[in-house]
Amino acid sequence: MKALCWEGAGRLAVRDVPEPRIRNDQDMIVKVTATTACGSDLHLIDGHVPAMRRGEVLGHEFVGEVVETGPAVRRHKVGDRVVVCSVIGCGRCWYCADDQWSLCDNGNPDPDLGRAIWGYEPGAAYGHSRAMGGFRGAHAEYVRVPFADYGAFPVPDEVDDISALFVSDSAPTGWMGAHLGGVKPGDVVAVWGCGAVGQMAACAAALLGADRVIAIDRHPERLAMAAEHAGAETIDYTATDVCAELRERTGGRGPDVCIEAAGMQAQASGLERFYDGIERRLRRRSDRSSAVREAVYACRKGGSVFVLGFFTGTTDKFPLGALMNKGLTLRAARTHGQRYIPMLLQRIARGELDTRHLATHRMPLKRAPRGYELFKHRKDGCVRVVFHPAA
Amino acid sequence: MKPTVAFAALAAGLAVGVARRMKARATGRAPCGDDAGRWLTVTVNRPPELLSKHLPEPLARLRNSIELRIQTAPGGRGAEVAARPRNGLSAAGGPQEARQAVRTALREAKALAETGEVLLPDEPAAARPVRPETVTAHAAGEGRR
Repeated sequence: MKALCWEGAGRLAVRDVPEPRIRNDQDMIVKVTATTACGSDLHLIDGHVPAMRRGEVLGHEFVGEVVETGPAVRRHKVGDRVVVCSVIGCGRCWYCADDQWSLCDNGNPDPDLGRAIWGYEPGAAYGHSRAMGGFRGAHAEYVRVPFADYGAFPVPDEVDDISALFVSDSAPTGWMGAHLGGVKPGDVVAVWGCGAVGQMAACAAALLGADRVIAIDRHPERLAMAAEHAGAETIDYTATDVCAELRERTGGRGPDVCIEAAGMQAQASGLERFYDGIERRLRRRSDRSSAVREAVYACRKGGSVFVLGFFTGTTDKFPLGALMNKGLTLRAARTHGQRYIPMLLQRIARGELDTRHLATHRMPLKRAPRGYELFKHRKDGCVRVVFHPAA
Repeated sequence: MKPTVAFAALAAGLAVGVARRMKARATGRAPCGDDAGRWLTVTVNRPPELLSKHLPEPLARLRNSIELRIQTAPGGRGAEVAARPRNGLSAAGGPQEARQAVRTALREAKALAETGEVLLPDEPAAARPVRPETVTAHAAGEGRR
Protein backbone atom coordinates (compact mmCIF):
# COMPACT_ATOMS: atom_id res chain seq x y z
CA MET A 1 0.00 0.00 0.00
CA LYS A 2 1.02 3.64 -0.40
CA ALA A 3 2.13 5.55 2.68
CA LEU A 4 3.91 8.79 3.51
CA CYS A 5 7.20 7.88 5.17
CA TRP A 6 9.74 9.87 7.16
CA GLU A 7 13.11 9.59 5.45
CA GLY A 8 15.26 11.55 7.87
CA ALA A 9 15.22 15.14 9.13
CA GLY A 10 13.27 17.29 6.70
CA ARG A 11 12.72 14.53 4.16
CA LEU A 12 9.46 12.78 3.21
CA ALA A 13 8.53 10.30 0.51
CA VAL A 14 5.47 8.32 -0.53
CA ARG A 15 6.52 4.66 -0.53
CA ASP A 16 5.06 1.21 -0.97
CA VAL A 17 4.97 -0.47 2.44
CA PRO A 18 3.40 -3.72 3.65
CA GLU A 19 -0.26 -3.50 4.67
CA PRO A 20 -0.84 -3.66 8.44
CA ARG A 21 -2.16 -6.86 10.01
CA ILE A 22 -4.27 -7.56 13.07
CA ARG A 23 -1.78 -8.43 15.82
CA ASN A 24 -4.01 -8.42 18.91
CA ASP A 25 -7.57 -9.65 19.37
CA GLN A 26 -8.81 -6.13 20.15
CA ASP A 27 -7.34 -4.64 16.94
CA MET A 28 -9.15 -3.68 13.79
CA ILE A 29 -8.01 -2.46 10.39
CA VAL A 30 -9.37 0.80 9.01
CA LYS A 31 -9.24 1.86 5.37
CA VAL A 32 -8.38 5.55 5.52
CA THR A 33 -10.66 7.86 3.55
CA ALA A 34 -9.19 11.14 4.79
CA THR A 35 -6.20 12.11 6.91
CA THR A 36 -4.63 15.47 7.68
CA ALA A 37 -1.30 17.09 8.42
CA CYS A 38 -0.85 18.43 11.95
CA GLY A 39 1.59 20.94 13.41
CA SER A 40 3.05 18.29 15.70
CA ASP A 41 4.07 16.31 12.58
CA LEU A 42 6.41 19.16 11.69
CA HIS A 43 8.44 18.54 14.84
CA LEU A 44 8.76 14.90 13.88
CA ILE A 45 9.62 15.70 10.29
CA ASP A 46 12.30 18.19 11.27
CA GLY A 47 13.88 15.64 13.59
CA HIS A 48 13.12 17.33 16.91
CA VAL A 49 11.54 14.22 18.44
CA PRO A 50 13.83 11.43 19.68
CA ALA A 51 13.73 7.82 18.47
CA MET A 52 12.21 8.42 15.05
CA ARG A 53 12.87 5.58 12.66
CA ARG A 54 13.54 6.03 8.97
CA GLY A 55 10.57 4.70 7.01
CA GLU A 56 8.11 5.53 9.80
CA VAL A 57 4.60 6.22 8.47
CA LEU A 58 3.38 9.64 9.62
CA GLY A 59 -0.09 10.96 10.43
CA HIS A 60 -2.38 10.63 13.44
CA GLU A 61 -5.64 12.33 12.51
CA PHE A 62 -7.93 10.24 10.33
CA VAL A 63 -11.35 8.95 9.41
CA GLY A 64 -12.13 5.78 7.50
CA GLU A 65 -14.04 2.56 7.06
CA VAL A 66 -13.63 -0.64 9.08
CA VAL A 67 -12.41 -3.45 6.82
CA GLU A 68 -11.40 -6.12 9.37
CA THR A 69 -12.00 -6.69 13.06
CA GLY A 70 -10.18 -8.83 15.60
CA PRO A 71 -12.15 -11.53 17.45
CA ALA A 72 -12.48 -9.44 20.63
CA VAL A 73 -13.82 -6.28 18.97
CA ARG A 74 -17.45 -5.78 20.09
CA ARG A 75 -18.47 -2.25 19.18
CA HIS A 76 -17.55 -2.13 15.48
CA LYS A 77 -18.19 -4.20 12.38
CA VAL A 78 -16.88 -4.28 8.85
CA GLY A 79 -18.29 -1.40 6.82
CA ASP A 80 -18.69 1.02 9.75
CA ARG A 81 -17.54 4.58 9.15
CA VAL A 82 -15.36 5.59 12.09
CA VAL A 83 -13.20 8.41 13.34
CA VAL A 84 -10.20 7.27 15.37
CA CYS A 85 -8.67 9.17 18.26
CA SER A 86 -5.04 10.16 17.65
CA VAL A 87 -3.83 8.75 20.98
CA ILE A 88 -4.09 5.09 21.89
CA GLY A 89 -5.91 4.28 25.12
CA CYS A 90 -6.74 0.87 26.56
CA GLY A 91 -9.88 2.13 28.29
CA ARG A 92 -9.26 0.15 31.50
CA CYS A 93 -6.14 1.40 33.25
CA TRP A 94 -6.69 3.97 36.00
CA TYR A 95 -5.79 6.88 33.72
CA CYS A 96 -8.24 5.89 30.99
CA ALA A 97 -10.92 5.19 33.60
CA ASP A 98 -10.25 8.70 34.91
CA ASP A 99 -10.66 10.17 31.38
CA GLN A 100 -6.98 10.99 31.06
CA TRP A 101 -6.59 8.91 27.95
CA SER A 102 -3.29 10.23 26.63
CA LEU A 103 -1.65 8.97 29.84
CA CYS A 104 -2.72 5.37 29.20
CA ASP A 105 -0.44 2.83 30.84
CA ASN A 106 -1.04 0.02 28.35
CA GLY A 107 -0.96 1.66 24.92
CA ASN A 108 2.80 2.00 24.52
CA PRO A 109 4.52 -1.35 23.86
CA ASP A 110 7.97 0.08 24.65
CA PRO A 111 7.63 2.44 27.60
CA ASP A 112 11.22 1.74 28.67
CA LEU A 113 12.50 3.71 25.69
CA GLY A 114 10.54 6.78 26.75
CA ARG A 115 11.81 6.40 30.30
CA ALA A 116 15.40 6.14 29.05
CA ILE A 117 15.02 9.34 27.08
CA TRP A 118 12.80 11.49 29.26
CA GLY A 119 12.61 9.77 32.62
CA TYR A 120 8.92 8.89 32.30
CA GLU A 121 6.76 6.54 30.24
CA PRO A 122 4.72 8.47 27.66
CA GLY A 123 1.44 7.23 26.22
CA ALA A 124 1.18 6.14 22.60
CA ALA A 125 -0.06 7.84 19.46
CA TYR A 126 -0.29 6.99 15.78
CA GLY A 127 2.46 8.07 13.45
CA HIS A 128 4.86 9.01 16.17
CA SER A 129 8.36 8.03 17.27
CA ARG A 130 9.20 4.71 18.88
CA ALA A 131 9.31 6.49 22.22
CA MET A 132 5.58 7.00 21.86
CA GLY A 133 4.76 3.50 20.71
CA GLY A 134 6.04 3.53 17.15
CA PHE A 135 2.62 2.76 15.72
CA ARG A 136 2.29 3.35 12.03
CA GLY A 137 0.51 6.52 11.08
CA ALA A 138 -2.59 7.39 9.12
CA HIS A 139 -1.01 8.85 6.01
CA ALA A 140 -1.55 5.47 4.43
CA GLU A 141 -4.26 3.42 2.77
CA TYR A 142 -4.79 1.24 5.87
CA VAL A 143 -4.13 1.57 9.59
CA ARG A 144 -4.14 -0.95 12.42
CA VAL A 145 -6.26 0.37 15.31
CA PRO A 146 -5.38 -1.23 18.67
CA PHE A 147 -7.99 -1.29 21.47
CA ALA A 148 -10.52 -0.53 18.74
CA ASP A 149 -13.57 -0.55 21.02
CA TYR A 150 -12.08 2.38 22.94
CA GLY A 151 -10.27 4.36 20.24
CA ALA A 152 -12.71 4.37 17.31
CA PHE A 153 -16.10 6.04 17.20
CA PRO A 154 -18.95 5.64 14.72
CA VAL A 155 -19.58 8.73 12.62
CA PRO A 156 -23.25 9.80 12.56
CA ASP A 157 -24.86 9.88 9.11
CA GLU A 158 -25.34 13.65 9.35
CA VAL A 159 -21.57 14.20 9.67
CA ASP A 160 -19.45 14.06 6.51
CA ASP A 161 -15.90 12.70 6.42
CA ILE A 162 -14.13 16.06 6.40
CA SER A 163 -16.09 17.32 9.40
CA ALA A 164 -15.45 14.06 11.26
CA LEU A 165 -11.76 14.03 10.36
CA PHE A 166 -10.94 16.94 12.68
CA VAL A 167 -12.72 15.21 15.57
CA SER A 168 -9.82 12.76 15.54
CA ASP A 169 -7.46 15.27 17.15
CA SER A 170 -7.78 19.03 16.51
CA ALA A 171 -11.29 19.49 17.86
CA PRO A 172 -10.94 17.45 21.07
CA THR A 173 -7.51 18.96 21.74
CA GLY A 174 -8.86 22.47 21.41
CA TRP A 175 -11.93 21.60 23.45
CA MET A 176 -9.79 20.10 26.17
CA GLY A 177 -7.76 23.31 26.46
CA ALA A 178 -10.89 25.35 27.05
CA HIS A 179 -12.58 22.77 29.27
CA LEU A 180 -9.65 21.82 31.50
CA GLY A 181 -8.45 25.43 31.38
CA GLY A 182 -11.65 26.15 33.26
CA VAL A 183 -13.43 28.46 30.80
CA LYS A 184 -16.77 29.58 32.19
CA PRO A 185 -19.45 32.09 31.23
CA GLY A 186 -18.22 35.66 31.39
CA ASP A 187 -14.54 34.83 30.94
CA VAL A 188 -12.11 36.54 28.63
CA VAL A 189 -10.06 33.85 26.89
CA ALA A 190 -6.87 34.40 24.89
CA VAL A 191 -5.60 31.77 22.48
CA TRP A 192 -2.01 31.77 21.23
CA GLY A 193 -1.72 30.15 17.77
CA CYS A 194 -4.50 29.98 15.19
CA GLY A 195 -3.76 26.65 13.58
CA ALA A 196 -6.51 24.06 13.65
CA VAL A 197 -6.11 23.33 17.37
CA GLY A 198 -6.13 27.03 18.24
CA GLN A 199 -9.18 27.57 16.03
CA MET A 200 -10.99 24.78 17.84
CA ALA A 201 -9.91 26.08 21.24
CA ALA A 202 -11.36 29.48 20.33
CA CYS A 203 -14.63 27.88 19.16
CA ALA A 204 -14.79 25.76 22.32
CA ALA A 205 -14.22 28.78 24.56
CA ALA A 206 -17.07 30.59 22.83
CA LEU A 207 -19.37 27.55 23.13
CA LEU A 208 -18.49 27.19 26.82
CA GLY A 209 -19.75 30.71 27.40
CA ALA A 210 -16.68 32.95 27.25
CA ASP A 211 -17.70 36.57 27.00
CA ARG A 212 -14.79 37.38 24.71
CA VAL A 213 -12.22 35.31 22.86
CA ILE A 214 -8.99 36.90 21.66
CA ALA A 215 -6.95 35.02 19.04
CA ILE A 216 -3.23 35.71 18.61
CA ASP A 217 -1.21 34.83 15.50
CA ARG A 218 0.79 36.53 12.75
CA HIS A 219 -0.99 35.15 9.68
CA PRO A 220 -3.88 37.40 8.58
CA GLU A 221 -5.89 34.57 7.03
CA ARG A 222 -5.75 32.53 10.23
CA LEU A 223 -6.77 35.50 12.31
CA ALA A 224 -9.63 36.15 9.88
CA MET A 225 -10.73 32.53 10.22
CA ALA A 226 -10.83 32.82 14.03
CA ALA A 227 -12.84 36.02 13.74
CA GLU A 228 -15.32 34.49 11.31
CA HIS A 229 -15.83 31.06 12.88
CA ALA A 230 -15.22 31.67 16.59
CA GLY A 231 -16.30 35.30 16.77
CA ALA A 232 -12.85 36.11 18.12
CA GLU A 233 -11.12 39.46 18.41
CA THR A 234 -7.63 39.24 16.97
CA ILE A 235 -4.07 40.34 17.69
CA ASP A 236 -1.22 40.20 15.18
CA TYR A 237 1.73 39.64 17.50
CA THR A 238 4.21 41.04 14.99
CA ALA A 239 2.43 44.38 15.04
CA THR A 240 2.06 45.04 18.75
CA ASP A 241 3.13 44.19 22.29
CA VAL A 242 0.76 41.31 23.07
CA CYS A 243 0.84 41.62 26.88
CA ALA A 244 0.26 45.38 26.75
CA GLU A 245 -2.53 44.92 24.20
CA LEU A 246 -4.25 42.27 26.30
CA ARG A 247 -4.05 44.43 29.44
CA GLU A 248 -5.47 47.37 27.57
CA ARG A 249 -8.36 45.30 26.23
CA THR A 250 -9.20 43.75 29.60
CA GLY A 251 -9.31 46.72 31.93
CA GLY A 252 -5.79 46.06 33.17
CA ARG A 253 -6.58 42.53 34.39
CA GLY A 254 -5.41 40.22 31.61
CA PRO A 255 -7.35 37.25 30.23
CA ASP A 256 -8.98 34.86 32.71
CA VAL A 257 -7.88 31.81 30.73
CA CYS A 258 -4.84 31.67 28.42
CA ILE A 259 -4.60 28.76 25.99
CA GLU A 260 -1.27 28.12 24.33
CA ALA A 261 -1.73 26.29 21.01
CA ALA A 262 1.51 27.10 19.22
CA GLY A 263 3.89 24.50 20.61
CA MET A 264 7.40 24.35 19.24
CA GLN A 265 6.15 26.26 16.20
CA ALA A 266 5.96 29.37 18.36
CA GLN A 267 8.17 32.13 17.04
CA ALA A 268 9.21 35.00 19.22
CA SER A 269 10.03 38.31 17.67
CA GLY A 270 13.07 40.56 17.79
CA LEU A 271 15.94 39.77 20.14
CA GLU A 272 14.03 36.98 21.87
CA ARG A 273 13.75 35.12 18.56
CA PHE A 274 17.49 35.52 17.97
CA TYR A 275 18.26 34.23 21.47
CA ASP A 276 15.86 31.27 21.06
CA GLY A 277 17.55 30.30 17.82
CA ILE A 278 21.03 30.30 19.36
CA GLU A 279 19.93 28.28 22.36
CA ARG A 280 18.38 25.61 20.14
CA ARG A 281 21.36 25.45 17.83
CA LEU A 282 23.65 24.96 20.80
CA ARG A 283 21.25 22.22 21.95
CA ARG A 284 21.02 23.80 25.35
CA ARG A 285 17.29 23.18 25.12
CA SER A 286 14.89 21.74 22.62
CA ASP A 287 11.64 23.61 23.02
CA ARG A 288 10.66 27.11 21.94
CA SER A 289 8.35 28.39 24.59
CA SER A 290 7.86 32.06 23.78
CA ALA A 291 4.06 31.66 23.61
CA VAL A 292 3.94 29.89 26.99
CA ARG A 293 6.08 32.63 28.52
CA GLU A 294 3.82 35.31 27.10
CA ALA A 295 0.69 33.52 28.30
CA VAL A 296 2.04 33.35 31.86
CA TYR A 297 2.94 37.05 31.83
CA ALA A 298 -0.38 38.08 30.24
CA CYS A 299 -2.78 35.98 32.31
CA ARG A 300 -4.72 37.78 35.02
CA LYS A 301 -3.81 37.15 38.66
CA GLY A 302 -5.37 33.91 39.80
CA GLY A 303 -6.10 32.90 36.20
CA SER A 304 -5.41 29.72 34.30
CA VAL A 305 -2.89 28.80 31.59
CA PHE A 306 -3.32 25.65 29.55
CA VAL A 307 -0.48 24.36 27.36
CA LEU A 308 -1.87 22.52 24.33
CA GLY A 309 1.15 22.90 22.06
CA PHE A 310 3.43 19.95 21.52
CA PHE A 311 6.70 19.94 23.46
CA THR A 312 9.16 17.13 24.05
CA GLY A 313 12.13 18.42 25.97
CA THR A 314 13.26 21.33 28.06
CA THR A 315 13.17 25.08 27.90
CA ASP A 316 14.44 27.95 29.96
CA LYS A 317 13.57 31.52 30.85
CA PHE A 318 10.34 30.13 32.21
CA PRO A 319 8.68 32.82 34.38
CA LEU A 320 8.27 30.70 37.48
CA GLY A 321 8.09 33.81 39.65
CA ALA A 322 5.12 35.17 37.70
CA LEU A 323 3.40 31.79 37.91
CA MET A 324 3.82 31.67 41.67
CA ASN A 325 3.28 35.28 42.64
CA LYS A 326 0.24 35.68 40.38
CA GLY A 327 -1.31 32.52 41.79
CA LEU A 328 -1.80 30.98 38.35
CA THR A 329 -2.99 27.49 37.57
CA LEU A 330 -0.85 25.85 34.88
CA ARG A 331 -2.09 22.71 33.17
CA ALA A 332 -1.03 20.78 30.09
CA ALA A 333 -1.78 17.55 28.28
CA ARG A 334 -1.73 15.77 25.00
CA THR A 335 -5.29 15.19 23.91
CA HIS A 336 -7.61 13.13 26.07
CA GLY A 337 -9.62 12.81 22.87
CA GLN A 338 -11.74 9.78 23.77
CA ARG A 339 -13.33 11.89 26.50
CA TYR A 340 -14.68 14.46 24.04
CA ILE A 341 -15.14 12.76 20.65
CA PRO A 342 -18.73 11.45 21.07
CA MET A 343 -19.90 14.85 22.36
CA LEU A 344 -18.13 16.68 19.53
CA LEU A 345 -19.65 14.44 16.86
CA GLN A 346 -23.09 15.17 18.32
CA ARG A 347 -22.41 18.90 18.34
CA ILE A 348 -21.37 18.77 14.68
CA ALA A 349 -24.44 16.70 13.81
CA ARG A 350 -26.64 19.33 15.51
CA GLY A 351 -24.87 22.16 13.68
CA GLU A 352 -23.39 23.69 16.85
CA LEU A 353 -19.79 23.21 15.79
CA ASP A 354 -18.19 23.48 12.37
CA THR A 355 -14.81 22.03 11.45
CA ARG A 356 -14.93 21.91 7.64
CA HIS A 357 -13.32 25.33 7.23
CA LEU A 358 -10.07 23.96 8.66
CA ALA A 359 -9.56 21.92 5.47
CA THR A 360 -8.12 24.72 3.35
CA HIS A 361 -6.37 22.29 0.99
CA ARG A 362 -7.19 18.78 -0.24
CA MET A 363 -5.05 16.50 -2.37
CA PRO A 364 -4.23 12.83 -3.07
CA LEU A 365 -1.86 11.12 -0.64
CA LYS A 366 0.71 10.76 -3.39
CA ARG A 367 1.17 14.55 -3.24
CA ALA A 368 1.64 14.61 0.53
CA PRO A 369 5.27 15.88 0.50
CA ARG A 370 4.05 18.90 -1.46
CA GLY A 371 1.16 19.24 0.99
CA TYR A 372 3.52 19.38 3.94
CA GLU A 373 5.58 22.01 2.13
CA LEU A 374 2.47 24.18 1.82
CA PHE A 375 1.51 23.49 5.42
CA LYS A 376 4.90 24.11 6.95
CA HIS A 377 5.44 27.44 5.25
CA ARG A 378 1.77 28.51 5.57
CA LYS A 379 1.69 29.06 1.81
CA ASP A 380 -1.51 29.92 0.02
CA GLY A 381 -3.36 30.50 3.29
CA CYS A 382 -2.90 26.89 4.33
CA VAL A 383 -4.34 25.92 7.72
CA ARG A 384 -4.70 22.20 7.14
CA VAL A 385 -4.04 19.92 4.17
CA VAL A 386 -6.29 16.87 3.87
CA PHE A 387 -4.93 13.81 2.08
CA HIS A 388 -7.10 11.21 0.38
CA PRO A 389 -5.27 7.87 0.01
CA ALA A 390 -7.76 6.49 -2.50
CA ALA A 391 -7.62 9.49 -4.83
CA MET B 1 47.80 -3.17 38.45
CA LYS B 2 50.32 -0.32 38.60
CA PRO B 3 49.28 2.64 40.78
CA THR B 4 49.33 5.02 37.80
CA VAL B 5 46.97 2.78 35.81
CA ALA B 6 44.65 2.40 38.79
CA PHE B 7 44.66 6.14 39.33
CA ALA B 8 43.93 6.78 35.66
CA ALA B 9 41.05 4.31 35.73
CA LEU B 10 39.62 5.91 38.86
CA ALA B 11 39.94 9.39 37.37
CA ALA B 12 38.28 8.26 34.15
CA GLY B 13 35.43 6.69 36.11
CA LEU B 14 34.93 9.86 38.11
CA ALA B 15 35.01 11.96 34.96
CA VAL B 16 32.34 9.79 33.32
CA GLY B 17 30.17 10.08 36.43
CA VAL B 18 30.53 13.86 36.54
CA ALA B 19 29.86 14.12 32.80
CA ARG B 20 26.72 12.03 33.14
CA ARG B 21 25.46 14.17 36.00
CA MET B 22 26.20 17.38 34.08
CA LYS B 23 24.46 15.99 31.04
CA ALA B 24 21.41 15.02 33.07
CA ARG B 25 21.27 18.57 34.41
CA ALA B 26 21.72 20.08 30.96
CA THR B 27 19.05 17.94 29.34
CA GLY B 28 16.70 18.24 32.29
CA ARG B 29 16.23 14.51 32.42
CA ALA B 30 14.36 13.31 35.46
CA PRO B 31 16.70 12.06 38.17
CA CYS B 32 15.01 8.69 38.61
CA GLY B 33 17.67 6.07 39.08
CA ASP B 34 17.31 2.32 39.11
CA ASP B 35 19.38 1.07 42.01
CA ALA B 36 19.88 -2.67 42.07
CA GLY B 37 18.14 -3.19 45.39
CA ARG B 38 14.99 -1.18 44.73
CA TRP B 39 11.60 -2.73 44.26
CA LEU B 40 10.17 -2.46 40.77
CA THR B 41 6.55 -1.41 40.97
CA VAL B 42 3.35 -0.96 38.99
CA THR B 43 -0.16 0.00 39.99
CA VAL B 44 -2.80 -2.31 38.55
CA ASN B 45 -6.38 -1.12 38.28
CA ARG B 46 -7.76 -4.38 39.69
CA PRO B 47 -8.62 -5.47 43.23
CA PRO B 48 -5.50 -6.68 45.11
CA GLU B 49 -7.24 -9.84 46.34
CA LEU B 50 -7.99 -10.81 42.75
CA LEU B 51 -4.34 -10.44 41.77
CA SER B 52 -3.18 -12.38 44.81
CA LYS B 53 -5.55 -15.20 43.98
CA HIS B 54 -4.89 -15.27 40.24
CA LEU B 55 -1.40 -13.98 39.69
CA PRO B 56 -1.07 -13.08 35.99
CA GLU B 57 1.05 -15.53 34.06
CA PRO B 58 4.13 -13.31 33.44
CA LEU B 59 4.60 -12.92 37.19
CA ALA B 60 3.47 -16.44 38.06
CA ARG B 61 6.23 -17.73 35.78
CA LEU B 62 8.88 -15.92 37.82
CA ARG B 63 7.21 -16.52 41.17
CA ASN B 64 9.98 -18.66 42.66
CA SER B 65 12.76 -16.33 41.65
CA ILE B 66 11.34 -12.98 42.72
CA GLU B 67 10.26 -11.30 45.90
CA LEU B 68 6.69 -10.09 45.45
CA ARG B 69 4.31 -8.00 47.45
CA ILE B 70 0.80 -6.82 46.63
CA GLN B 71 -1.02 -4.13 48.57
CA THR B 72 -4.05 -1.93 48.18
CA ALA B 73 -3.40 1.30 46.29
CA PRO B 74 -4.87 4.45 47.83
CA GLY B 75 -7.79 6.26 46.28
CA GLY B 76 -9.42 3.27 44.66
CA ARG B 77 -6.59 2.83 42.19
CA GLY B 78 -6.47 -0.94 42.56
CA ALA B 79 -3.32 -2.75 43.67
CA GLU B 80 0.30 -1.76 44.05
CA VAL B 81 2.42 -4.65 42.88
CA ALA B 82 6.12 -4.65 43.74
CA ALA B 83 8.73 -7.21 42.75
CA ARG B 84 12.49 -7.59 42.63
CA PRO B 85 14.79 -10.43 41.69
CA ARG B 86 15.87 -12.87 44.37
CA ASN B 87 19.53 -13.73 44.26
CA GLY B 88 18.59 -16.88 42.42
CA LEU B 89 17.04 -15.16 39.40
CA SER B 90 19.67 -15.61 36.77
CA ALA B 91 19.77 -13.87 33.46
CA ALA B 92 22.39 -14.18 30.80
CA GLY B 93 23.28 -10.50 30.96
CA GLY B 94 23.57 -10.25 34.74
CA PRO B 95 21.66 -8.23 37.36
CA GLN B 96 20.47 -5.50 34.99
CA GLU B 97 18.91 -8.05 32.66
CA ALA B 98 17.32 -9.82 35.62
CA ARG B 99 15.74 -6.53 36.68
CA GLN B 100 14.61 -5.88 33.12
CA ALA B 101 12.95 -9.31 33.07
CA VAL B 102 11.04 -8.42 36.24
CA ARG B 103 10.13 -5.00 34.87
CA THR B 104 8.76 -6.56 31.69
CA ALA B 105 6.85 -9.19 33.66
CA LEU B 106 5.25 -6.52 35.83
CA ARG B 107 4.20 -4.48 32.82
CA GLU B 108 2.79 -7.49 31.00
CA ALA B 109 1.00 -8.73 34.10
CA LYS B 110 -0.61 -5.33 34.51
CA ALA B 111 -1.70 -5.23 30.85
CA LEU B 112 -3.16 -8.73 31.04
CA ALA B 113 -4.99 -8.02 34.29
CA GLU B 114 -6.42 -4.75 33.03
CA THR B 115 -7.07 -5.36 29.33
CA GLY B 116 -6.77 -9.10 28.76
CA GLU B 117 -3.87 -8.74 26.33
CA VAL B 118 -0.36 -7.41 25.95
CA LEU B 119 -0.33 -4.94 23.10
CA LEU B 120 2.14 -5.83 20.38
CA PRO B 121 3.95 -3.13 18.43
CA ASP B 122 3.26 -2.58 14.76
CA GLU B 123 5.46 -4.38 12.33
CA PRO B 124 7.93 -1.79 11.06
CA ALA B 125 7.07 -0.29 7.72
CA ALA B 126 10.69 0.69 7.23
CA ALA B 127 12.44 -0.89 4.32
CA ARG B 128 15.76 -0.16 5.96
CA PRO B 129 16.75 -1.52 9.36
CA VAL B 130 17.51 0.85 12.20
CA ARG B 131 21.07 0.99 13.36
CA PRO B 132 21.17 0.50 17.15
CA GLU B 133 23.45 3.47 17.62
CA THR B 134 20.81 5.72 16.11
CA VAL B 135 18.50 5.14 19.05
CA THR B 136 21.35 5.53 21.50
CA ALA B 137 22.29 8.82 19.94
CA HIS B 138 18.71 10.00 20.15
CA ALA B 139 18.38 8.85 23.71
CA ALA B 140 21.30 11.07 24.57
CA GLY B 141 19.62 14.24 23.44
CA GLU B 142 17.62 15.56 20.57
CA GLY B 143 16.59 13.57 17.56
CA ARG B 144 17.83 16.04 15.01
CA ARG B 145 20.53 14.81 12.70
